[in-house]
Amino acid sequence: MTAVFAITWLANPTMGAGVFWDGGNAIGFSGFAGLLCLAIASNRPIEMTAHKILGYAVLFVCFLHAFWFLLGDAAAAEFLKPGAPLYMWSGVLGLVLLGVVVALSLMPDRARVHRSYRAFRNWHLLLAVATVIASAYHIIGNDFYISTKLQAGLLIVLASGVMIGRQQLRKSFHPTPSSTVQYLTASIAFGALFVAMRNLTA
Amino acid sequence: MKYVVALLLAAAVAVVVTGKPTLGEQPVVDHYFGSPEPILPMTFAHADHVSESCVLCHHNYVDDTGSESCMSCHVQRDELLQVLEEQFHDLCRKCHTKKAAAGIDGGPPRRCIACHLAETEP
Repeated sequence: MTAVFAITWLANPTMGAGVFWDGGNAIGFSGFAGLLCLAIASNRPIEMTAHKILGYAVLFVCFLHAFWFLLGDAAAAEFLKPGAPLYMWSGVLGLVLLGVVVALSLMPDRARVHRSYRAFRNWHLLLAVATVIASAYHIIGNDFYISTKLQAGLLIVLASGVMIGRQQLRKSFHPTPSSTVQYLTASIAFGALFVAMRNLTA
Repeated sequence: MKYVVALLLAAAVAVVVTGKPTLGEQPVVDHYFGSPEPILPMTFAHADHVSESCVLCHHNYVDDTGSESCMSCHVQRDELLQVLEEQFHDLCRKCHTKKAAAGIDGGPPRRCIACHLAETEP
């Protein structure tokens, strides 16, 4: 969470687009950070609850980001229709993939779709990586808060590093069932700071 | 959970298709400026841009690409209409954003509805 928001502050940290816009995007960045947290909060038996509950929370945050703009800015919906920029469709793809990943991870549907636990794990990881890639392209393509090559590069390195090094990160951070509360608390704190810096300091 | 996800996705699609129950002012998508396809309205006032160099937007003054209004080419010519969103966002939004980064009030840098409301009837 810290790393994701820190990257947004590397260029023009006080440049705001209004509380509504910056607030909605702070929720989006929290959603992206949540996707990376999910990679660390693994679904090994001892952390099953942490991963599952955090997955629900991240899905909620990502839907909140989408509905925030859909319901609050009447023109935003036009950028999700045919002819919309690819980076907007990429955001839609990321949200749909996340919904599919969450829904198909739960019994009994998981058993219906996958014959073995191994097959489920492979597909789960593949779809999770696709979700992170689609979401990262959505963020970088929008070119507002992540507007420099350095920021884009760091975001890619961060996402790749978390996905590749998730086994080591799990050992360092020891996610627990309370991780979801920590995630939501951090989202609110970082989101408030993100909005305040861009709208109260100008 | 799958029903909750399906319901949320269906609700999002419904909002995109119907435009309801979105809050605030609603843009009317129409054939503005003689566009062959329905497009979003665009707000632009020359009075707000008098401090800018004319050729920043009116490239045809110096590159000899015609003497018509902006929209007669960028909206009515099919090959330019396909890149209208990209070209106008690149020009307008980048300039507004650059000014915002410099701490200058240079117009809305991001919010869609701040620019996409009609000033004139189609």
